[in-house]
Amino acid sequence: MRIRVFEGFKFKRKDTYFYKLDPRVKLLFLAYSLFLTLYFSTFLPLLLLFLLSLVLVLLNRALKEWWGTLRMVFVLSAIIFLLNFFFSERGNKVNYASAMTLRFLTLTSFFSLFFLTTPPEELSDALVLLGIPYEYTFMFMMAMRFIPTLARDLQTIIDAQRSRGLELERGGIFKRVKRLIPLLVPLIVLEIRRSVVVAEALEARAFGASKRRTLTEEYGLRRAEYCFLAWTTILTVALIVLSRLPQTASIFGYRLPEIP
Amino acid sequence: MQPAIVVKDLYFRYEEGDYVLKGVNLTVQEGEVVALMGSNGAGKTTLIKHFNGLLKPVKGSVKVKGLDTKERSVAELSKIVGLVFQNPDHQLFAETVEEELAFALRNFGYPEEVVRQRVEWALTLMDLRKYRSRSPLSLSGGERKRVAIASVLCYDPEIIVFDEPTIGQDYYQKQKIAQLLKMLSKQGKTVIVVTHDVEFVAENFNRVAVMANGQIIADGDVEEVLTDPKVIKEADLRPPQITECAWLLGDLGVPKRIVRVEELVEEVARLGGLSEDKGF
Amino acid sequence: MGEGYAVEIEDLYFKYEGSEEPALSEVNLKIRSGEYVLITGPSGSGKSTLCRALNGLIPHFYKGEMRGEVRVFGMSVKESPTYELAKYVGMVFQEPENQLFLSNVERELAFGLENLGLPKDVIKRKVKWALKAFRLEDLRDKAPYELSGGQQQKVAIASVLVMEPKILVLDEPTSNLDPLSASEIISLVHKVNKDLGLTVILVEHRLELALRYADRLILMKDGKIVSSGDPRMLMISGEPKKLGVGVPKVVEAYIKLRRRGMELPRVPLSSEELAEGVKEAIYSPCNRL
Repeated sequence: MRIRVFEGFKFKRKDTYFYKLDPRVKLLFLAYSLFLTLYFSTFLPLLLLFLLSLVLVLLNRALKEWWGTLRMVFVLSAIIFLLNFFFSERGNKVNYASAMTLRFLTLTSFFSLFFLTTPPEELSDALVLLGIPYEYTFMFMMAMRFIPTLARDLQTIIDAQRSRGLELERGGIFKRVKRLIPLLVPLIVLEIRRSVVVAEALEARAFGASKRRTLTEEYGLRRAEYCFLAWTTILTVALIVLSRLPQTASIFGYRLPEIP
Repeated sequence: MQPAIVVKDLYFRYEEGDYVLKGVNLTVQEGEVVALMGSNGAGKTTLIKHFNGLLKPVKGSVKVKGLDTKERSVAELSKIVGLVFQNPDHQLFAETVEEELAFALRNFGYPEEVVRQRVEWALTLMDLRKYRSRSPLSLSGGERKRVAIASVLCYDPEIIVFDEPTIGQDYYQKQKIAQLLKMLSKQGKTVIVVTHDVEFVAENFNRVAVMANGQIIADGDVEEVLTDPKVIKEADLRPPQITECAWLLGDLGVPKRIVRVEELVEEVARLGGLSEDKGF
Repeated sequence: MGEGYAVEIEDLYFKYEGSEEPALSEVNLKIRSGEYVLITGPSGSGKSTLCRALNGLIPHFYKGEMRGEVRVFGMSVKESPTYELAKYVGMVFQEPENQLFLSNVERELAFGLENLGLPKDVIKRKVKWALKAFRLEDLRDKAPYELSGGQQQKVAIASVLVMEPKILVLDEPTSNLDPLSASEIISLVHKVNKDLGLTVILVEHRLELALRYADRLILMKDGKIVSSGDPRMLMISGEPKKLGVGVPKVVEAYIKLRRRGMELPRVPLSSEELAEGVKEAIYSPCNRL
C-alpha cells in the first residue's frame, strides 16, 4: 500500500522547458488554463484541454510522477462521474458527467504540471514580485515544501499501524473511516511537533529580521518568455471568441451520443 | 526445527526506482539474536519490511516460520513478527496508554479477557503502570518509546525486529534496551536489531550481518565481522574504538580481532608483563 | 575578539509555561570567546533548554518564567529579539529535514542573509565564500532530497555559518546520522572552532566523537550544571557513572589498565590516544608499579 497521490505535486529538478520558465509566466499560464477549464463545460473542449496538459507533461518528462497522482484520483473521478450522472438535470447525462469528470482531471493535471516544474520558493518569489506580502507567500512556500515530507510520514504511519494488525482494505464504509483515526492522529501530532522545530530553525536564520527582505534570485523575462506569454494569451482569447461566434460555436458544443 | 526467517535471493525495488535489494540471503534460527548493520541506503529498513509482509519480493522469496510472505497478509504475518519502528510518534494515537497497548491485540481479534491480561503484563514489563490512564502523546520522548515497545511486546510475537532502537537515547536508556534484548533472548524470542551503533553491537551481540549496496556482505561473529577492515570500509562503518586501537597496536603484536575492552586490556597487560588486577 | 566572555549566564532559572518543575535552575556559566564546550547529561537534564536560552528562543519563543541573566557578548538575551541574536549565535538542530527550506543548496545558503536584508552583491559574495569554505560547490544546484543525511546537515551548518555568527550552538547534530557522517560533522565543527575562532557549544550523547576536541565538558542533571571542567579529568572521576552518562570505551580501558598497574601518560579520548599512551607506557618501564 504505497501512497503515490502526492507525487504529481512534488517538485523535481529537471532540465526541461517548463522548469526553466519564469515562475510568473508559469503562474499566468496556469491561470489561463484554469480559466479555460472552468469556462468550457462541454465534452470536446475539455478533452482537448486534458490532452494538451498530457502533451505538456510528456514534453517536460514528468509522466511517471504525473501518473502517480492521476491514477490515484481515478476513484474520486468515478465518484464525480456518478454524482453528476445521477443528480444533474441536464438533458444529456453522459455528456455532462463526462465533461465534469474531465474538468476535474484537467484541473488536477494542470496544477500537477505547475507544481512539478516549479520549486516552492519560485512560486513565493513570483507572488512577491506581483505585490503580495512576503508573510503570505512564505506560508504557501512552506506548505508546498513540506508536502513530500508529509507524504513520507504518512507512508511510515501506514506501515507502522499495519504492522500492528490494522487492516485498511477490509470492512464497510464506516469501519474504514474509523480506521483512519490511527493514521490521522499520529500524522497531525507529528506535523505539529515538526512545525515547532521548523519555526525554531527559521528563528535561528533571522526570519523576520528585516522588513525589506532581499530577493537575490534574478527574475528577468527573456524574449522567448515574452513570446510564450503572447502566444498563450492570443490562444486563450481566440478560443473564447471562437466559442461565442455563431459560426464556430457548434464545434465546441459537441456532445456525446445520448443514452437511448 | 525450521528456521525463524529464511531470505533467499531476495530482489526488491519500488515501482518508481532502481533495485534496492539485489540478491539478499539470510537465515535466522529460532531464538537467535542478530544485529543488522550497514550504511544508509544499503537496504536495511527495506529488508526488515519484508519480514512482516509490508513489502513483497519482486524476485526471490522470504519465508517466516515456513510461511511464504508473498501469500500472507501483513496482518497475518504481524502476529508472528513484531516490528518496532524507529520513531514512536509514527504510531501513538490512543487516548490512554492502556488503549494504545490494546490496539494490536484487538486488531488480531483476541478476546477482551486476554487483552486485559496482556496489557497488564506489558505495563509492568516496561514500567508504565503509573502512566496507564494518561495519553501517550503527553509523555516524554523516552516514555513514548517505552509505550511503542510495550505495544508490540504486548501481543507476544515470536520474532521481534527493532529499527534503530538506540538513536537519540542516552546511556541509561541504551542500557535498558540492552537488558530488554537479553530478556527477550532468554524467553526464546528471535530478535533482529537494525542499528548503526557499532559500540552497542560490540557490547551486546554475538552475531552481526552487514549490508552494503543491497546485499549482505558479511554475516557472522561480531569479533570477525567488525574487525574486518574490508567490511568496515565497504559498508561505510567505523570499527569499535577498541578495535581501532588494537589495529594501531598491531606492530606490538596485539591481535586484530578484538572488540571488547577486557580483551584489549588482557593483551596489553600480557605485553607489559603486568600482574593480576590489583584493584586500584 | 579573543578577550571577554562570549556567554555569561547568572543564576538562570527557567520553567516552561504549564510545567510543574523548572527545566533549568541555579545555572551559572561563563564561556570565553573561542572556547569549545561540550555539554552532556541524561535525557531531560535541560541541555536543550540551555541551548535555547542562548539565542533567545527562550524567553521569546517559549513562554515561561525566567529569572536570572543571560548575556551574549554583553547583549542581554531577554532584551534582544531572536533575529537580532541570530547574527551572533548560530544554532543547528538534530534533524536536517527541518532546517532546509529551499530547493537547492545555493538558495539555502542565501536564505538567512536575505532575511537580514543584506544587499544582493554582499549576499552573492558570502554565499560564494561558504560554497568554497565548506566544499559544497559540487552540490550547489542539488535539492535536499538528493543529498545524504550527512551532506544535508553540512548544508544546514553552512547556512548558519554564512551569517557569520560568533557562537555556534549545536543541539545533538549527529543523532540521526550514520557514524561516518557523524564524525565528518564533528570534524567540521572542530575546524570551525580552530580555523574561524568560533565559540562552539555542542550537546551530545555520544561522547566518543567529540570529547577529544572539547576544551571543557559540562555535565547536567535535572536542570542543573553538576560539573564543569577538563574532559579528561571528568571522565575518570566518578561523576559520569553517578549521572548515568556513558564513558567512552578507551577511557574504560585506561581505568582498567591503571588498576592492573599500567599508568598511561594521560587519559585517552580517542583510539589513537589510547594506542599512543599504551606504547609510551610499555616502552618506559619506570611507569610500571
